[in-house]
Amino acid sequence: MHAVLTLYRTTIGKKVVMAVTGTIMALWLVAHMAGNLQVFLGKEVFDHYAEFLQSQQEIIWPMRGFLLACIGLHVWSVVSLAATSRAARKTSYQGGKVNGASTLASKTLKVGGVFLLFFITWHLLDLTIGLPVVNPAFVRGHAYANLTASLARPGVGALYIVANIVLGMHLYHGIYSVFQTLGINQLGDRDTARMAGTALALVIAGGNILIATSIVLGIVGA
Amino acid sequence: MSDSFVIKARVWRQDGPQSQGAFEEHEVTCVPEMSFLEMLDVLNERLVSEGKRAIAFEHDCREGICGSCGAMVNGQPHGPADRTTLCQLHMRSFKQGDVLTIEPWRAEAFPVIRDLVVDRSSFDRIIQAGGYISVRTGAAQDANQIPIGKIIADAAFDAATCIGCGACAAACPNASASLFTSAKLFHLNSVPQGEVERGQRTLAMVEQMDAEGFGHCTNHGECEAACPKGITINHIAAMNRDLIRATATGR
Amino acid sequence: MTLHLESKVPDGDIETAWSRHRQKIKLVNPANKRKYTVIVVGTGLAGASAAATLSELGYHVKAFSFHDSPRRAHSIAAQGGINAAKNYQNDGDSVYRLFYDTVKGGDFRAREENVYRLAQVSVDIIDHCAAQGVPFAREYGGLLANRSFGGALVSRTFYARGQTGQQLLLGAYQALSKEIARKNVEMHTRKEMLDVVLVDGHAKGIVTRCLRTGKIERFAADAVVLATGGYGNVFYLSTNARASNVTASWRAYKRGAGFANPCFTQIHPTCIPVMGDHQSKLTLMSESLRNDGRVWVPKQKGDFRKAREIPDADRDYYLERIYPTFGNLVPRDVASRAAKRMVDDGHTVVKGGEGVFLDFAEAIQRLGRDTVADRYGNLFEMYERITGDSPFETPMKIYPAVHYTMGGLWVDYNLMTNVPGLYALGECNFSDHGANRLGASALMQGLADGYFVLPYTIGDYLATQKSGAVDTKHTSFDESQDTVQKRIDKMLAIKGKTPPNAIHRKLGKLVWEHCGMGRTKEGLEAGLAKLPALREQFWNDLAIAGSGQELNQTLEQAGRVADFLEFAEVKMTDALTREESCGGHFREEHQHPDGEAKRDDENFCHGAVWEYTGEGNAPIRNQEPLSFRYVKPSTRSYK
Repeated sequence: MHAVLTLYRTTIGKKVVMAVTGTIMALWLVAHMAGNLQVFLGKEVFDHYAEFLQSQQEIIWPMRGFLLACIGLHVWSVVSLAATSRAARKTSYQGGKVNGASTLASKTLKVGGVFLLFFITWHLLDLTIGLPVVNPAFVRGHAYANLTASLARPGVGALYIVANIVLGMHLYHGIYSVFQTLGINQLGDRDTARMAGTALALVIAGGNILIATSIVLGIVGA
Repeated sequence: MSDSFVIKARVWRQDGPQSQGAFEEHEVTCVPEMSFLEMLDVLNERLVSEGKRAIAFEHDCREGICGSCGAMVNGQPHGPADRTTLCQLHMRSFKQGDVLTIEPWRAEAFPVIRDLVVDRSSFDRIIQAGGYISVRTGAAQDANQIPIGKIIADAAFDAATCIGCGACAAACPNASASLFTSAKLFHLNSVPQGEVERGQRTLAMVEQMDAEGFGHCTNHGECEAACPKGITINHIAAMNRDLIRATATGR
Repeated sequence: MTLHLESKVPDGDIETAWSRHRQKIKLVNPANKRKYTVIVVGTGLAGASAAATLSELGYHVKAFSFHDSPRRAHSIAAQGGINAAKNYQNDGDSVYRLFYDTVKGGDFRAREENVYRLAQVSVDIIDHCAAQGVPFAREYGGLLANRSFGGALVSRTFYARGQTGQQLLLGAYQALSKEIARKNVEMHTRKEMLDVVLVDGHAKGIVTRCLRTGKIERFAADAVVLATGGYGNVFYLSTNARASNVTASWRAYKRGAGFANPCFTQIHPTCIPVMGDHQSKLTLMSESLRNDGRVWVPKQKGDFRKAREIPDADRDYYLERIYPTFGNLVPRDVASRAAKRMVDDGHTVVKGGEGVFLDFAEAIQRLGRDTVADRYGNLFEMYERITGDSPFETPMKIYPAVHYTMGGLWVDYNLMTNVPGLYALGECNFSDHGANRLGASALMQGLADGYFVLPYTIGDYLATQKSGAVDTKHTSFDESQDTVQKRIDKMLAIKGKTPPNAIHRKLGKLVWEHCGMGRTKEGLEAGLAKLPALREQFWNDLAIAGSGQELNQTLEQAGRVADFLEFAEVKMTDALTREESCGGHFREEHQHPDGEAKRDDENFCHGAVWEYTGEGNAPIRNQEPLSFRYVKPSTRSYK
């Protein structure tokens, strides 16, 4: 415990927390996306899958708590780090600052994160809780119908697609950063880190967008 | 001599740490063979002979190794040339009519002293926290007693080539000193002589880096792009790993 | 002869002289060391290594640097390497051989015993630096690599790519940082020493100006160590860093320390030529380039065709022509003077300037572009960065430039000047290189003085002193501070039109023209005659904007230029009175028929030590006779 606290006291320690929680969430997202691909196998398979998940209450709740804790730690660390970085430069360059190496993904990481936080909340209200204001057609237990009905609304469909593009960029730089922060690519093998970031971004965001697009285009649906 | 041309220097002037600063504009006639600092020399000589204060800027060796010089030129640390310190940047990189906005490094850990001169003693304090191998003069064994493989020695050298100019922290969106700190850590942590103090050194230097008010690393790679010596962010990864190891195992 | 110049060199055989000396000198009780304070001015190789080591021994140290950090000193720019008599290559090197090469290379104008000690401790330096983690070049087996260097027949130079000085300085800087962290060294950055304070004839403190605030401050100690570098910038253009100056040594001289051999200056043959009036500094290109480059000029005067358009028949490969045996690899001073002769005869390759070609076309053809790039890629890039020309496409233009100064404050075997308690280390003393320094020996001397000599020898003096006997309230400090303040006020009050840089540039041209590579009686006299007018311009028309109570770089420069203006006179007088040619000092009247330097061992086998006699008075020339018991003086020949 002492070691963890010592580590967490440093800025690098907070980044380690972000890297670890980020990795957990990313792996969970792979599973989430893979499970949801069953939507292409039809209503029955998908509803059955949802039913199976709902039957595992003793796993699902600890899992939800764990993920929530990950999000909490991830956000808490970034808030603290962002304050550090704001304090580190109070005067910005007035003659502009030419971009040397940062990417759109790296530069939008923080704002993208805020957006994702908003989106996750929406997503939970939409398809997990089924708040009528968010998803009027929600009927508990009808996972397939809930999903397709919600995303068939053009605005919502677009939101899901945009959110996944943002998620993809977040993962692209985030996973790459995990390798840096945990010192995995210390031998100069930065390509592996880039590939891992790109692959996870493509797989997770790509799979999700495939589902969303298919629903929007009516390929999958009621 | 080749053809001369005129540029407009938009230079940050600030009398002291607490003073308000502002840009001041001057036209300077240049020749392509002139270094950037020589352009400032020419301007300063004119200013002084007119009874005006010279623009303060730090410089010494003027061959890219002492690390004294440095400023933002049109938003680029040390100007537009790749792997080149300000003193080695030459005016042939610019042309007639160019407007050059020249600003000091901006970071709270590098407070402005005057004009383009900033206080980089925070870097010294990071080194004082542990950037050394504790060996007393006279206590060493024969130098060839500890062989070091060429690959390791070369890698240590690549890190040790840092000149401490501060461009990395100036370029970083978070004003982080990670590249500077990690370069010294990599140099000392990778050679066998530095192994004994490895963990302690890493923790001490990282804590000092934080205490100086530098920001954290978000892996943009801006530092690496700005570094006149081509130091890579792989060293930051190594520093992170050493820190994790140090806190986990105490080594 | 009024200075008391006792060299304190041990009698008896030279091999055991240093160890016998160490046994004989007084020691300070370990428990008492912390009561003694030593001021170290300058934190380059010599200063940082001395400050760190003194602190390790237990002394309280106050270290001063006028830079923002001790890591900036000009030692950092040394490229080539550091010599040590390790004999790791088994090629017959030994302490004696390094000693021999250094004495001979110095053209028999150095003290044999000092040089022998230097060669002895050279091996300890490498051990210590390796233990500090200095990333020396290594072979695949992990052992240290060596390269050979001019003036030696063995391979004894240790190096860290082309940045050996940087790596050694960072090692010393880190050692110093370790002691600063222990709070045993009190580090003062951005403070420029402007006077040495003498109490009853002993150096007991300094007066400094804080470059940030302009505050004049006093610091007292039990001894003062100067490690403030050389005076190469008297030439304005040199390979020295811009801030390098003579001020600290000069103020010590004016307080009574003898200044030895100021005419000894080393000219490096391969630097990038001056390109215009704006030029602020010269950049050295490594000597190693001459291994594969061929030096030539057009046979026809004023032939400014593009180099590649000049056919072989119209080229004069003059080094190969005059020195068929050594060819392009003759020593530094020989190559420099040959280039000067060609250019003086009108064969320059720089329109309106001075330069010769260093051509790699033949090497590229013989070895292939890749091999040449492998050997010299970094240097070619550096050349292109500065000049905009690629040496792959067109020959480099090179010309000699001032690089190092062998003269400096006179010191005895203990590195103490003739002022008790005042020490001088590194380039700012005169001790080890005689009239010419061999490549890779400057780093060796700076570190030898700082790590291994002074820390022992200073005890001999301190043991005779009551610790902390003087504080800054002493009237000598009042007097010093007053002198410093008045001088600053005087410069600020002129309010003229000429910036100090313009006067410095003029001074440089004057000294280069009259006391550069080749010197004559007439030239030196003419130069000396021109100096007063320049000094007058300085003191009547100097322009400094701003005040003394702030960061004012113009004021800083003005103070240094004022000292160079005074120093130049002693330097040129020394060159005038040394009626011989030796090493870096070439008097055109004194040469062999083939143009080689002609020494006069009968009349000039001594160090010339100049003594200050007050404002406006001529200085007195003292002599320290040199005797050569081991290396018998002979004529150097490289034909």
